Amino acid sequence: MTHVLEVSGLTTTFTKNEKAFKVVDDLSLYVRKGEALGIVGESGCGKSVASLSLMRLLGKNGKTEGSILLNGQKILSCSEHEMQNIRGKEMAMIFQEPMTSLNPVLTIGRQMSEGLEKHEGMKRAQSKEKVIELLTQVGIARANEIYHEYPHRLSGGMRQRVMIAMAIACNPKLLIADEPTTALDVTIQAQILQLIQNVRTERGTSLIMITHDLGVVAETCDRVMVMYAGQVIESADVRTLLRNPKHPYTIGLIQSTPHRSKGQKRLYSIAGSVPTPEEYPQGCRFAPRCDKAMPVCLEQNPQLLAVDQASDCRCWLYQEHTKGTAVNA
Amino acid sequence: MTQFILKRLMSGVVVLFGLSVFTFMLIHFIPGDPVRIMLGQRATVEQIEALREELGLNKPLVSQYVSYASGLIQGDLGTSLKTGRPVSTEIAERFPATAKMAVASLGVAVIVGVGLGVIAARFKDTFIDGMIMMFSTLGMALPGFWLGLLVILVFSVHLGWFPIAGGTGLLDIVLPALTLGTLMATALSRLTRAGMVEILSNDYIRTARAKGMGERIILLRHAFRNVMIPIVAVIGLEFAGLLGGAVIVEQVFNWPGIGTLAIQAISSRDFPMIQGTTLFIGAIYVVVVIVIDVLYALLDPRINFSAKREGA
Amino acid sequence: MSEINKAVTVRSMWRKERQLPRFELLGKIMQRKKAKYSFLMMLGIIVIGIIGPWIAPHDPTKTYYEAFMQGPSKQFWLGTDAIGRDILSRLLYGTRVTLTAAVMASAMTFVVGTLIGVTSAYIGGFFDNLIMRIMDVLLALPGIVLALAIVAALGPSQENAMIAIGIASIPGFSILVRGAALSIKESGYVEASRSIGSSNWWIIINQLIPNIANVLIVYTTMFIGGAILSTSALGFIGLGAQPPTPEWGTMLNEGKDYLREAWWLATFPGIAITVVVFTVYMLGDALRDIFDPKA
Repeated sequence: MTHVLEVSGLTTTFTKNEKAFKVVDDLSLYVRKGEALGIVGESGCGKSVASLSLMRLLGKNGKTEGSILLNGQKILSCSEHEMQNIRGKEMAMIFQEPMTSLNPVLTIGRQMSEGLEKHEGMKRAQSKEKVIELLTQVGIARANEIYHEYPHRLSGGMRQRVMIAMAIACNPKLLIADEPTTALDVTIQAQILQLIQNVRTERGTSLIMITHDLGVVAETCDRVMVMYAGQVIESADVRTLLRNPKHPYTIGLIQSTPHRSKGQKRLYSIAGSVPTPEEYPQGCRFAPRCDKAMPVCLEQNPQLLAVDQASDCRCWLYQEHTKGTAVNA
Repeated sequence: MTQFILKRLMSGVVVLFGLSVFTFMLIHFIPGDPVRIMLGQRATVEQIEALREELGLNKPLVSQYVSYASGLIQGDLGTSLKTGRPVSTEIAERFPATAKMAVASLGVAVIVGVGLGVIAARFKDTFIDGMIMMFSTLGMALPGFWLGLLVILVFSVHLGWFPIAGGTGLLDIVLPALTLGTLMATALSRLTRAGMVEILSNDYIRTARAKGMGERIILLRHAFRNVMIPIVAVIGLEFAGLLGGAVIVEQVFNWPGIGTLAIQAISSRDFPMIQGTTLFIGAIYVVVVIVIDVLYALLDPRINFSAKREGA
Repeated sequence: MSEINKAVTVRSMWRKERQLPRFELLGKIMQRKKAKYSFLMMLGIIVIGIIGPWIAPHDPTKTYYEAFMQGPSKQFWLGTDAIGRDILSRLLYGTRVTLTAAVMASAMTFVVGTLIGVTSAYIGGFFDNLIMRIMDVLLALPGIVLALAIVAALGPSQENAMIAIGIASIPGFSILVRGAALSIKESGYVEASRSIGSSNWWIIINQLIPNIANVLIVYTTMFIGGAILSTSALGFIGLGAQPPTPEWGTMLNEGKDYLREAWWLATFPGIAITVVVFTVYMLGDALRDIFDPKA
């Protein structure tokens, strides 16, 4: 039981005008205890929906199938009531928009303590003590005063610290961070990433870091999965992926990341954009934008298979080397 | 905060001044000789001249207004032509009845309107939601006085649960409050639903869900407080409609309030009384709006009187 | 108070103005269920208003001495009133009375309100401020109380009630129009038009008015519904249409003393008012959906 989270065949379908769209398609992953997994992709690739599916926080119109095991507990067969006891307690989430993710009419203290009161059965005085301790831990000075403050008095960076404190309040086994630094100033971003790292190492919390930024992954994660158009197209440990990317999309992604040491003249960019679920092609979903596309790519979508010891990849270029070993078999 | 209230009070005073000009001018809008119209066909020339003198109508317009306004400031709204008693005394006698009805109706309106709005938002796009919205559109099309008649017909005449009309006791207030409250609830339920739907789609609601909060806490603690802010503003605006509705509904139930007083005054062309009641209703509205404005500022922590931001 | 007014104005401002040619509008109405039915209902009510006097089974003012306060029967489908007049015939005649009053009152509101709202928004500055202060003052009185005050000055009659309701709706209407006009005024194409030297009146007539036409149609429809309610309210308290005019509110007034004896007197006119106002509101709602699909 070293896997905190085990997901297999996760598929999330949205229905619009009586047509079903698979926004997340057959996603399988695992997270070990204390490990950090990065999920990388452009906006619209389904990574945020995937994270919300894990927490079962999608509205009525999103339908999730497959299997999610959190410490051996089947998340998808939990009742809504059981889910409420899991959210915030077993797994917690940090969102992208600190400016809008806190309730404007409740004090920081109230918003932080309600989780503690629900999950740990604390009384108000106990929880206040704990909240102030947590706020101090995430680097907020004068936590005593901030406890009584409303969110609008705090800057974006401070609010994200509050969000982190809120997420770790009940010592969850798994923390999901959905683009936690995207909305922040560059100088604040590094502080927040460092904070997440510290929290994780101190508490041994497992982490899923969802981001579009390979730099963030390089700094915080152990393993990484690249998503494209609702599917995982490559999965490897961080070093391997960055040094030896396999999938043409991953290669493009790395090339299009600005790098200060290499004196590039012009930044590489992948032509076109991520297709929406309505316009997924029949073959490989990346084929229309791929400069290595072969006839087979346009006809049939490849499977995610192990390329070598270190990497899995969903690409016809590597299928013959794999001797047909399916990854999750 | 004090400054904010002072500013509100100032704008209230400006509106009251405008209102006094309007009610003052009312007499001068009368086509023909106002005094003759007030006294009727059989009045003698002496009577007419005496009243003209008493009302000061033969003085220049500006000095007429000055004496009218200085009377107002001292609380003198003039003397009723019909009863010969001070208008302010009569209004003071009638006001408690209207206030009782307005407060009771407001209570019904807030409980029914906000309640239905929250339920409709919770069950958005379901049968329940559809029914509530149907009820609300239908309610807006209902004439208040007719709803009052129906309520009397059903609850008093047929079921005999409540006295028909006339008293001002606790049992008497139920039907008028139900009538007026339901009318106001219809618009309120729509606004609550719209506000609630918008607020439930906010990021911070998702945050609360991610913390494991139950639907009840999310609705009541996280969403409702936010939706209360626009609702309070709307209730302030609706209050004008409530007073207007009260004027008509009072008629149906023979409720001895300001509305009945005003309508009797109009029927008997008792102009000092007409001016007085009109001004009084306007003044109540002005006061309510100021109170609501202050309440609004207190409810929303983002409206801050000494805003200062914390650094990161 | 102006803060709240502003909030309401902003809320009712239209994010995007799109104009529909006349026939396209009719087409859009017929495509949508709610719009279609409320439009057809409205058409039916208007037809009744026109041909009511011809299809009425009896003379609305004739007293049938053998039939005082009779319940619904074969001869008098909806019964007779306290002085033996046929309710159905009075209702049919009353359709015209009510519709005429409401439409005339709303026409007055529309013309004056649009004029005030548009010029106030367009000229801006001190003039705008002054006009809006005056509207604030008038808005401190509930519409019906303002109408009552005006009726008090003019004297109770159907015409005066109409005028009073028309005037009393002007403040609310002009504030809504002003809000809509302001959003157009600040748009790029008005700026562009001014930059090529168009005159103010040219801009108002050719740019502002056509672009708020949709808003005006919806508001006017809604105000007609309100005017019907106000007309019948004034009739009910005896300050509107005078007997023996078969106005619906007046009929309810005559019926209110006989609740115990004759339920039909106080029932059918009320149903008539509710059905007509409901139809008008539904139509207004449907038009709003057509013009502004996002709202």
